Amino acid sequence: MTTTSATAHLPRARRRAARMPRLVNAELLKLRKRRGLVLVTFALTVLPIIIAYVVLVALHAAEPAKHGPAGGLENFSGSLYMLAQLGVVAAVLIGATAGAGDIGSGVFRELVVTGRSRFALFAARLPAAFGLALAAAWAGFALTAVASTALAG
Amino acid sequence: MSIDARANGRKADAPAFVVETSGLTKRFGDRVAVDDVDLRVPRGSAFGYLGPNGAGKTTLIRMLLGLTSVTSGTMRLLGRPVPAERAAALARVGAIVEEPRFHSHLTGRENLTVIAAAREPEAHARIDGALARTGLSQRADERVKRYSLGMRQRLGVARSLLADPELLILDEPTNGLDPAGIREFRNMIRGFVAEGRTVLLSSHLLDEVEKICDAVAIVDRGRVVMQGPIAELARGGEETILIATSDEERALALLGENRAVASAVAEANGIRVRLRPEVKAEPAADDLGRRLVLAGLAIRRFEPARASLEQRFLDITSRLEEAA
Repeated sequence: MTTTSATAHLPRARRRAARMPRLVNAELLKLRKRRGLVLVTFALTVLPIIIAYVVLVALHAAEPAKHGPAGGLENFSGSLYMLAQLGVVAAVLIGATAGAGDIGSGVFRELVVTGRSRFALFAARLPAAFGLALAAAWAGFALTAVASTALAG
Repeated sequence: MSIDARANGRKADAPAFVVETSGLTKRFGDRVAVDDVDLRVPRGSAFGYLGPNGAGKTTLIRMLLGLTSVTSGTMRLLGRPVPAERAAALARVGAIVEEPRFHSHLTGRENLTVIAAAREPEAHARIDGALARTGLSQRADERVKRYSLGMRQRLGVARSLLADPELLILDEPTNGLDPAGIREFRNMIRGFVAEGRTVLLSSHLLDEVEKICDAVAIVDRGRVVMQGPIAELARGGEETILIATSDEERALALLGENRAVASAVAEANGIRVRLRPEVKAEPAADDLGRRLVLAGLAIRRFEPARASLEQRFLDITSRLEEAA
């Protein structure tokens, strides 16, 4: 049996589909290598949760009769509301960077001359931007869930 | 296929011209940037697209690459009609348009990864080869913002090589390079041609085009005013010989009587003799030399005068300016 390149004989539509994740990965690479963006994103999604629970723990420790345990359903719900508000800001930042990064740096022209359609190049940004935004939101949510459970008293 | 193996991989039925345009025109409002251009770039050559700044060189390249639309006319890249089969045509085309641009927060290798993702899957396997070929392997993992202009230009070439290109389109590639960088670039381009690739080089630097290219199209105000092999264009259809003898006046008289001579003009370093276009240059020159010697003149200099492309270019463009 002889072996051949796996992509050499794929139908055109399948080859296009096979290339899409590579474009998405490339977009994700561009985003996650922007240290400032990644830091701000996690600062908006994880840091406020940490601060909120530190404050709640401190209040409960100082005056347990007046302030209940830091965890619990009520604080979990409040933390999620805050995460949703700040998560939107983070998502806007990620979206703006993903949308304007190639144009701003002048690289979009270089991508176009590869022959790929502009639509495919634009479309690849969406899952990549969602990927980073969801990762940050997921980290914030996980922290909230753990903290609200562990500190429920 | 490896980057170096392309020369042996040519299809026998590959078209003779890698770029063919017919009546290609681009207008920006009332201004005509590219005017009815018929261009033919032969396969396996270094082809210069030469013209002064603002002549429409970059606009033509942008049209070929699908970066801007065409007002009228047709074009084919690697035998495929563009824009109808743009994606297939550009799959084997590497290009640098104006200054190569990169994501400065990514490393050289990551920038190539981004472009490879937009190309065929095999492009990823060419990244290391392309970096090695352009001498960037050692600094491939540094961020591009730390690269010098010369390194960015080389990274631009490395990026073009990811397509394993049959055609490389380079727009003013030596802009901003120092003399050593220019020489290195020149050698690199000649190396690509030696592998069987075609290089279309746009430039306003006459000397550069003359040193790198085999053939050239001279463009002025959007129009191709002349195209062909450089040696032919520089000669302009006339053979010229520089002759210095012991007696210039007698030599001038003898040359003036000769039917093969179109003109003989005394200059500081001898007599510039232009042969008639219809005569065969070598026998005519032999005959001239023989006659001068037989007339008892000592010949101190007898050599074909190579008109530079620059001279020819300036002749053509100044003629056009006068006509306008």
